[in-house]
Amino acid sequence: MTEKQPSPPIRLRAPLLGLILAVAICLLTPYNNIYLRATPLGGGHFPLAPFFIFLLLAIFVSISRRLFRSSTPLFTGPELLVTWIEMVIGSGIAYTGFARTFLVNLTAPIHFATEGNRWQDILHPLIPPALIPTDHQAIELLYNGITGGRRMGWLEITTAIPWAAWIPSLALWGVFILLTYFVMLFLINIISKQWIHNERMNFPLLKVPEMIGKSIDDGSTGSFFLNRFLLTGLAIPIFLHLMNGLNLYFPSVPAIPTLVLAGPYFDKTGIFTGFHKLKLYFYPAFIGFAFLTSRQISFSFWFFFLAGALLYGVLDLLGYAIPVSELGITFGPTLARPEEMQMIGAYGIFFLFLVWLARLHLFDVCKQSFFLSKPPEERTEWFDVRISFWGAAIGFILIIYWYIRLGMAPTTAVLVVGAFFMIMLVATRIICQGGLAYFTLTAAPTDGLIALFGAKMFAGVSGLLAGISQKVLFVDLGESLMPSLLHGRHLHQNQKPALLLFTGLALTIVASMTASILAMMTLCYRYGMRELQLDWATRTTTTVYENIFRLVSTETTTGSWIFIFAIVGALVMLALVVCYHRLYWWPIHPIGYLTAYSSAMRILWVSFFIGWACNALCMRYGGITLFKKLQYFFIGLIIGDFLMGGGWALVGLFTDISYQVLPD
Amino acid sequence: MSFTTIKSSQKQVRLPFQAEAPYKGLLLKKMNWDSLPPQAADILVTSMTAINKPAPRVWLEGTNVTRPTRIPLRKGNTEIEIQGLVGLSPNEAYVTRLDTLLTSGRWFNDKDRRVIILEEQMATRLGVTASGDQTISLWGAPFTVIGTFKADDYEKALDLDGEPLTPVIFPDEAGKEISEEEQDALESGDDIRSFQSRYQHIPASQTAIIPAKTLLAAGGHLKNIAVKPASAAEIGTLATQLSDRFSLALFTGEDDGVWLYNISDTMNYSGVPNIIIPLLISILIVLNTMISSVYERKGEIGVYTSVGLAPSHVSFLFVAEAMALAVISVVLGYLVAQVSAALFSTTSLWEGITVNYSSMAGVAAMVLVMSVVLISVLYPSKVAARIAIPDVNRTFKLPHPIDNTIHVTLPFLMKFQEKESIGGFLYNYLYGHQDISHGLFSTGEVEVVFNCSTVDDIVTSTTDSEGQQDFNCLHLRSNVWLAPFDFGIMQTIDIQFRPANEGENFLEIIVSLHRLSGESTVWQRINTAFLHEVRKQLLVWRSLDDATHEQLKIDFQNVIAEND
Repeated sequence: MTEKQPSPPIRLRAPLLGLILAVAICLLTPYNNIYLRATPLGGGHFPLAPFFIFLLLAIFVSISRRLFRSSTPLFTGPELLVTWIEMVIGSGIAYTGFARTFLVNLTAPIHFATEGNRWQDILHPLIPPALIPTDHQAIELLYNGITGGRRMGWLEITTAIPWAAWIPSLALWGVFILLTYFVMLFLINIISKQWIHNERMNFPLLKVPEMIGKSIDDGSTGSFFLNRFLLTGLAIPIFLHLMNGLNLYFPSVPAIPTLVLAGPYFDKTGIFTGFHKLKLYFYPAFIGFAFLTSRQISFSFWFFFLAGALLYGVLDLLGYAIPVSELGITFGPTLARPEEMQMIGAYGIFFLFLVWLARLHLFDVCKQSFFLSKPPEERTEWFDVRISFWGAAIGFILIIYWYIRLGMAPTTAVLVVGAFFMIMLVATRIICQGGLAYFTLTAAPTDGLIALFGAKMFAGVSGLLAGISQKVLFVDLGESLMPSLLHGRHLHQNQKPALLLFTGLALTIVASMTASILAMMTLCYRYGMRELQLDWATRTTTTVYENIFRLVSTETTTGSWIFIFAIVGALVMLALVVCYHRLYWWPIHPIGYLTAYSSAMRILWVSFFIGWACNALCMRYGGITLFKKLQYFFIGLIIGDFLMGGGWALVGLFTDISYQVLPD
Repeated sequence: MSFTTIKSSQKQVRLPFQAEAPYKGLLLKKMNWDSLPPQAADILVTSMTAINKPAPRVWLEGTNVTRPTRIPLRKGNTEIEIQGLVGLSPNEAYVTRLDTLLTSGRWFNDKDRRVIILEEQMATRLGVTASGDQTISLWGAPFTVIGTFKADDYEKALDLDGEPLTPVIFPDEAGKEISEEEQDALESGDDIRSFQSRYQHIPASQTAIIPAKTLLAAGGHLKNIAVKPASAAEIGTLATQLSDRFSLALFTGEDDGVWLYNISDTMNYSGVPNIIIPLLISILIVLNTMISSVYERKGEIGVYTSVGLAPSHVSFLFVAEAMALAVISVVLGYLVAQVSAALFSTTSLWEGITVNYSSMAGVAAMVLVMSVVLISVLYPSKVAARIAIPDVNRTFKLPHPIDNTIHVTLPFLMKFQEKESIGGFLYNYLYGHQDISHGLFSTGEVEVVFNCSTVDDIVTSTTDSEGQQDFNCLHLRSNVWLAPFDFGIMQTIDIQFRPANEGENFLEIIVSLHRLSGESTVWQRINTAFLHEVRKQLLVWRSLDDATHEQLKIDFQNVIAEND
């Protein structure tokens, strides 16, 4: 009989180191990313800095184990993975996941109000007390910097910040954000058994760290890194980025293009009009992730991206070029065409599909939570699902109460909170199962509500609160927390003590949030927000307020075509789901349809195509045996890309310009 | 080819857009706010007699379309910055009645050049009124303030396309890193702006209006043209003529609301009735040839079957062969036709024959020929499949589950001494899928067990087999997750090697699948593919050489030793 040895318990040192490193990343990220404008430390759901540190730690642990011939290593594989995932969570919160736009979001209505845009007349009366800081001087200092701030020390700056103006708003938002984060934790705890154990979900983004962790435990780190397939894969990105990086500093060194503009090969009108701006990006790391993704999913990603682009041409040919004004007011970060509103219906149906797949599990959770059945003796979650169930329910109610207390209509509050978490769950599934290191949402949760129920539900303060809170946590999902929590849950599977692991995660979230706000405020008050690279944050936030302004001041209606496209999206998704369920040979996974119009896919589709083609050929002609060998080549591509990313980021710290290996 | 033609044509599509029209007229524009050529308004007037008062709309657009253009307005020492400058014509009063929005002053006339209409609050901040004798400085040039409007009213005065008459910017494009390739493309004039970027209108409170001609001369871009024919009845006719003539989006404000006119490209394949009879004849010829071919190759089909090809494979071989011949023949046919035409078309041999060699006609002919071959080969391929395995079910049918368990006896027999080799092979196969969520299935821990699991097993093995039994049936057990994994189909698999009825020293394989989670119907459906895969592996095992068998045996003995 073969029986798996139970893995040794995780020692306190692992979550503790993870916590310290996460806080360090949070403190450094604003300085590195927006002051030095160097290679971003984070970025996506497989951030650069945490993986780079993880690699260094893995090498250090292996070398020290060999040198000191110690039977108990400094860190075991699972312990290093615990440390890594805490760093990932920290790096997300420190930048796009939260801190990048938070301060701009809170100060924009005051700072960017002019006589011309009339925010003062329309928006200011709607803003509930304490929602945003209202001390004009404190806000101006944030944008211009404290006089003589550059000469002050960091601690001195921290004490010079006008905290009194900030405390009420930070406390109010702190409650909202922590409630949201804890509901996410509870939801992940509830759904994890279904997704991780029952559905055996593939986590392509975790494959490389897990394999490195396993090699540490097996004492085979040397043979892992010296695997000939891995070394071949490693050589490609190293050579590529060495040449391109050197080209940046020494233009006489030839560069190898990683972007081909394919648009000019297609006519501006006609059936290929959607391909007129097609770009082919080549990122070895993403090709690696695509190879590790399930074949059906990687196929559907590139297939639906091309099909989505073709739809523009088909509609154009048929004479159905629908004007953009039909969209009305939208908050979706990349939503541009009425055709893309298919995603609203598609997200809704896919969410129902996920619930339907998990129905037995969810029913069981409900029965346990209402004490109608006994919990199983062996638990795979962090803690009892009954606690998660009631925790999530109470969290939902408290968030809804938070909105109502600030003035949102109760029905709107319920719908908004429901839509936020529905989109988050679907996005988490897409990111984790699809191995999408980069992801952008097409339509925002409120876009769906506006399309279905009309803009009237967002009249007055309801629109303002929904717009701001959505911008804080639920629309820029590039580095959102929930997918990282699911990754964390997968890494913690079968690891003990579960409570220590959960506490480590929870503390990391709270500490990262605090450290990120502190670092961001200190940096802004020292140099002034104007001097920092916050263009994207400022622009997208002011766009949100302009949309809120239009939402509350004009009677904008959404065109009937939007509703038609939403219905079409729902029907297409329904057909995909039914085919996927009924026909076992069906080659298309419905998840690809959800990313057809995501701007991330514009960068990733070529990688997915190459990764899929390699995977399909490998599985067709070599089966699982060849796959197991060849995966090292693709892991080499990933490690090489991130190794060079980290290397050039270090070089960038000492030079004026920085070579970017990965997209921003 | 000569009997058929392919014609491209354009068809007008008229879509309802809004229930009520803000004005009766037409609006011509490019989608996504691309600029029109500056001469467009003049061309429109000269091309259509019914149009004599076009209202062109011009914007000031900077080179960076992601940010609004900052335009300074100065009066004395007071300077304000606005973000949008719109050029409208005197005809606007006739076409859209925009002059009614003015809260003071007058609209433009044909003689106006350096005049400006300001937003009310803007005028107040500059300290000017629309009396007609006060000037402000725009880019250093004096402009007379002739009117004021309210921002709210202006924004509510939507055009036929449902959008206000203010400039747009593409803010989502800002902040993106531009690569060297993109920079080069931009410099060479290519529009590489993403097609997934939404534009935003500049608020009316940040916008001023000057005459369209003035702004056009100052570098503004023509964005759309509104026209109003003398009679509302003409709008429909005019829209039809205009959409035929210009490839632009066309909105019409009519009595029953706003309509959107688009042109759709269509293609007609005419002349098909002329070739139906020749097509039928060719189908029959190919059908006859292929059926003969199938019967002639009965022996060959037998060989295919004996080496393990399924009827569907044999059937597909004939389809593939026919398609290969079809592709070769259409290419050869096209080449022969081209060469013949080149050689003989000028001679008397081809006198009176007109051959259609358009590219689309060629492609259509090729597709037609291949379709004919495909249709013709369907029946012969079916015949071939029937010859391959007569009187037997051609597809494997999974037994019905009892208590969530399916028992299948695989159609294979092996010698008792081969037990370790096949055991090792299947152990490696299951172990290979451990913790890998790729392919048809994924496995958990693989267990090797020696016992006869049930009393029935023991009874069967002692009564049905002639040999002496040691009651040690070999089992391989594992948890198996079946793809697509989303359905959460988890089962235990028990592969049991036990003495067979067929004779002494023979073993048979019984696979027992027990459902642990997931939907029952999906579980049964997916397991068909899974069992096919296991059966295929047994065929692969049969083809291994002696050395590999020996190696598998040694490996498996090691596994057993480790487990013990």
